[in-house]
Amino acid sequence: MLALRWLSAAALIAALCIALWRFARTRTTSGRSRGAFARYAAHPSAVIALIALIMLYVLAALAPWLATHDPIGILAQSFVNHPPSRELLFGTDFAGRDVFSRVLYGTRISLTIALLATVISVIVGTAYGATAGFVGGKLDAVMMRFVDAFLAIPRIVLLIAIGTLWSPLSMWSLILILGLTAWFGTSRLVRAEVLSLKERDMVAAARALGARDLAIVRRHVLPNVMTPVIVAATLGVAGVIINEAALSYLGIGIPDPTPSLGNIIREGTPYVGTAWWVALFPGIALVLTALAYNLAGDGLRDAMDPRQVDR
Amino acid sequence: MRRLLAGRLLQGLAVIWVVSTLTFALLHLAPGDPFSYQNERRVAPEVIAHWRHVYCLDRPVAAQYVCYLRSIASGDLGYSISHARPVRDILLDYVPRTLELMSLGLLASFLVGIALGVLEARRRGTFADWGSRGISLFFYSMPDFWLALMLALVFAYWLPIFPISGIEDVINAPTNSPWQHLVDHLRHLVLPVTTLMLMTCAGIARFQRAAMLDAMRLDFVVTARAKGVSENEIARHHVLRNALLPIITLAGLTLPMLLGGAVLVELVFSWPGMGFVTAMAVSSRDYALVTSSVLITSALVVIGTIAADLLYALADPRVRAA
Amino acid sequence: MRISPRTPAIAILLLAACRGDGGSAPKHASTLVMTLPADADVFIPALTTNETSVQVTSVLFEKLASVGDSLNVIGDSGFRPALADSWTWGPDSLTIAFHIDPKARWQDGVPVRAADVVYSFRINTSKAIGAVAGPLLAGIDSVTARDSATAVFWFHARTLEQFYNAAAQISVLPAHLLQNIPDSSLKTAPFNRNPVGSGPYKFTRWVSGSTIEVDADSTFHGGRPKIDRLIWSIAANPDAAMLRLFSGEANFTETLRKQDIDQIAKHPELKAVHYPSMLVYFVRFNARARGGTHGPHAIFGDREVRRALTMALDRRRAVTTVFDSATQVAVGPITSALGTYDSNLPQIAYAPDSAAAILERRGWVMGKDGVRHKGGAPLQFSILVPSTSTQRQQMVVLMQDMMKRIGARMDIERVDFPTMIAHGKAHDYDASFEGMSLDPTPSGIRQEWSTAAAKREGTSNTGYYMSSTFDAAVDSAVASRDPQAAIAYYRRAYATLIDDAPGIWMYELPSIAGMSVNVHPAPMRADLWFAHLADWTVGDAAAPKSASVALAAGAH
Repeated sequence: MLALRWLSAAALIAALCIALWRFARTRTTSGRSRGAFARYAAHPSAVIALIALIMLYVLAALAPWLATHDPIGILAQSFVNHPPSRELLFGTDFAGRDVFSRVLYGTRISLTIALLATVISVIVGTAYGATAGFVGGKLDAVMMRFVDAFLAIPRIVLLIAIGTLWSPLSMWSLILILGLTAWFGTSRLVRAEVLSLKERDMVAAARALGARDLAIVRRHVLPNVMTPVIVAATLGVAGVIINEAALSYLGIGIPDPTPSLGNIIREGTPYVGTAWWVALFPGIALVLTALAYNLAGDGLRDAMDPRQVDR
Repeated sequence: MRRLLAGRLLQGLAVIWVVSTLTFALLHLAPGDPFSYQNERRVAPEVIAHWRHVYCLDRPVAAQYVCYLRSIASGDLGYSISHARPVRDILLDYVPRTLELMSLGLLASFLVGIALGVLEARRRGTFADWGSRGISLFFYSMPDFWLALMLALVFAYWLPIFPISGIEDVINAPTNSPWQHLVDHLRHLVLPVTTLMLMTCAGIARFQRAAMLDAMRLDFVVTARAKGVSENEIARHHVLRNALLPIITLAGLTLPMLLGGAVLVELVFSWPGMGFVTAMAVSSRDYALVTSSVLITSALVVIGTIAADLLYALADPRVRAA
Repeated sequence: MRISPRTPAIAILLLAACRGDGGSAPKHASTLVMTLPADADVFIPALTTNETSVQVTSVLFEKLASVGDSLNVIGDSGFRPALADSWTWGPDSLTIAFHIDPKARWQDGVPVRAADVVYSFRINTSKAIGAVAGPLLAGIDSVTARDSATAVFWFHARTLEQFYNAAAQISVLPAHLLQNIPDSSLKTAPFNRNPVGSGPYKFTRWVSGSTIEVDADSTFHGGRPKIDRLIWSIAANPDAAMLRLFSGEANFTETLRKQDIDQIAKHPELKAVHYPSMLVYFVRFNARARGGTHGPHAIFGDREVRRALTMALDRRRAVTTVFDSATQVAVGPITSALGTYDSNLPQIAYAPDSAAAILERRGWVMGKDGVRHKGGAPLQFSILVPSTSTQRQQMVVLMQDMMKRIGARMDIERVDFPTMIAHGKAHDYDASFEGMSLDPTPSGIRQEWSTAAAKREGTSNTGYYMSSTFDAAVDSAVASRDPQAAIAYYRRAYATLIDDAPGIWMYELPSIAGMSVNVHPAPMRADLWFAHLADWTVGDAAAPKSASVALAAGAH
């Protein structure tokens, strides 16, 4: 029964990959952005990363359906710190919970948090950077000094301070905080792009025609800054995932018993000498996710910015 | 040059002012104040009142802010409840250990990163290039604490060749000769520094590789090659020298990451630095200590960035002249 | 510029090769390296509750007399002389005169005098300091110096525990070094970084976050301690501490966890030593609505429901899973180390079916979602667990499962320790998984569970347990002049408390120390395992193996 579910998940992943491939093929032969698709497809690592991401998201989305056990349910007494076996693929933890199911759910939580936090950071960063770049002058200078200051704070230290002062954090406040501490780089990027766009003809023309600032930003500026922002966001997801894990590892992230990857590693740490599997597998899941995002981000950057192909 | 220095220092001060305002806001917005959790430590109300007064916590917000800035300017970072000492005294004990870890991490990371970058650029497109880039990106994508944990598991637990944690062999420390002391200390440094190095060298290697490839296209390199200078010579004398310059800037950019990494790495290896003391402050809710570490780590980053800028200016004649 | 990736690799290999096997180690003085996950704060005993500081100061400073191994605190029987070599009771038992050992010296050479005792009493009762012992000293009117070697304690009234309070609560401090420092700045005095005591060990060095070292004082008036050197080796967390023991970099740790004990068996050079415990862990129910002081709690306000929830828990299984079969399930608000302990106290036994029946009877009907409901409200509550306690976190996960089976939903609220205390103080919790360190004086239970305690501000009876039957039994016990009658009254009080189920008593924290086989501890006392550190011995081969000996030896 479970095997059937896994088979159908695999089929779904395969179907998605094929659909994507066919879509990409139509785009590489025609259409406005065919160069970008072709350039992305030219990176085998980026393609593999994309497939890995599809796989991770499908598995995460279907976690409740695919889990072999209840991620917070406790198996019998004899299954405490049980090594990996055929029934218990990743073994069990100190409380006799199935690590495989926990990692599956943990990936789901970590991916969700990272995605939502990144959306927040993109929105805030774009709005902030666009405002600074478009208004310019003194306001711009002041706004960018703030960004400088925030960039100087090692993010994890800031997160630890916030987590300490307001602990325990709920999942939503955690998402908010991760998002609100991740937008500084984006805002710089957007500002620089806006500054260069401001000088271009179409913006000057629109302004001459009497278009209002907001309309200009919406119609001409935003579509043009989206490219670098998407690249930065893709790379940023990896950072957010790792920071969330670090907070959970310190015990100020997602509260128990909800499994997040960082939580599972923390709970495995005391036993790492005897039950290494508890800390090992969630770590691998983390590395794979972050690596896939990093590779995909690299591929995207090359694909979207023809000036920066692998020199 | 002097103007550049003055300008950067002023900018740095502005950044630190913003950060200290932020830490003040954090402290102020957080539930309670630094002394709210004193009672279960059975500290007398009189003592709490005394410290509240010393740190202006019995005054209006604006006055508290001025007082906070003034005490920071004079180097007073508040009173740590869990250590029963002024925060400054604690940091004087712990910050140098983090600096040591970090600077060695930075050094190792640059040595390895540059070496890898050069290797990748010279063997561009080969298996070595792909492999090296893949592996360093793999380490780059690892959570620092997990990497540290795995290194500890392998090199201190399974193969016990390095000490598991700490900064000294406590048994022999008092009787060790300076030489023995140094060796002992270095052995304790290996695993944490390796963790930091593995985490950050990918970025440096990537940067170095790109810079090398850029430099290889420069006119005089092409000329040298046309003249028949050997590839080794070119790489060593022409390309590397030009490619090393931009990497100095990278040092400034790598600092926040290294510092952040050090926080968690110190925890795994019981390295008594900023991260260690901050994590302990987390569990005892030591507000003053936690916010001070935000301030101090940021200050370290600012100082590091300024130093990198100056170094760059010194190395690049064009900027030096300006 | 030639950088080969091999260069650092070679350097690292060299360093790895530096590891010594200890074979050529220079003969060291005997050393006990204790590893623990917390640094000290200050070294003036009256000023600290920090566990590390308490341990260190216990060998640096002395009390007038020490409690014997029987842990008797009634009268003065069993007490051993310490700083005082003798004492005499006043004819009305309202004064006790302690005669200070004339050989006793501060480690700077100055003799210990009665004035030091007077000063120390003042510090321990000073409002500006708020010492832990303060409340226990309330029965003492004053302390005077009859002559330079005799300190006289004057009591308000006779009590069974008056000698204990006078002799064993106050660590005597050097007045000549401290008396000019105002009380409020004592905590920041340089003395804390360089303490001078009169105890068996003298302070050598403290490397923050790393090492605290004390050395034997060969001139100690009670005789030179047997171990030459004591080192507290600080780790970031319990795991790092354990790895130090297993790697041989330390030869003692005070607490072993279950999985650590399994590991000890695989290390022939290590042993586990059990010692009696004073720590009892229990789930406290808040009988009143969360946060407010008004109105009963929808679930825990009902004594029958509290009893039913207690029945739902298979405490034996929970304890065995997290610890081992040797760990004792707590029978009540006491541990087996206490003189008033009784293993036959009546218990609320594990009976999930009866639990379900009681809940049904009290109107909690099973809903479709597997959770019971009453008047639309679910049988759902949260339990506070400190994020620092692995064992309690493990146990609540098991408990959550057991509660689910009778239709109760228990949410886990994991908070750091200070937050937990703050929630408790504000009565802002449903249930809370607490650990209580018992006082050797049985009357201490009054501070914990009496009606008076529930009504007091800043109480530890935060769950509002109030029972006149319990209060009466404790009052009778305290008022009793006959030790046997007192014990009988205490047991009656315990039984009342257990029957009312203001909480679920889970376990006595097993005290199992891990150490090298060559470490021979003197009896480890339940309240302070380190009380007799000066009498411990370490065999020859037991010096923990050093990490850098081989190359060091070659370098000479």
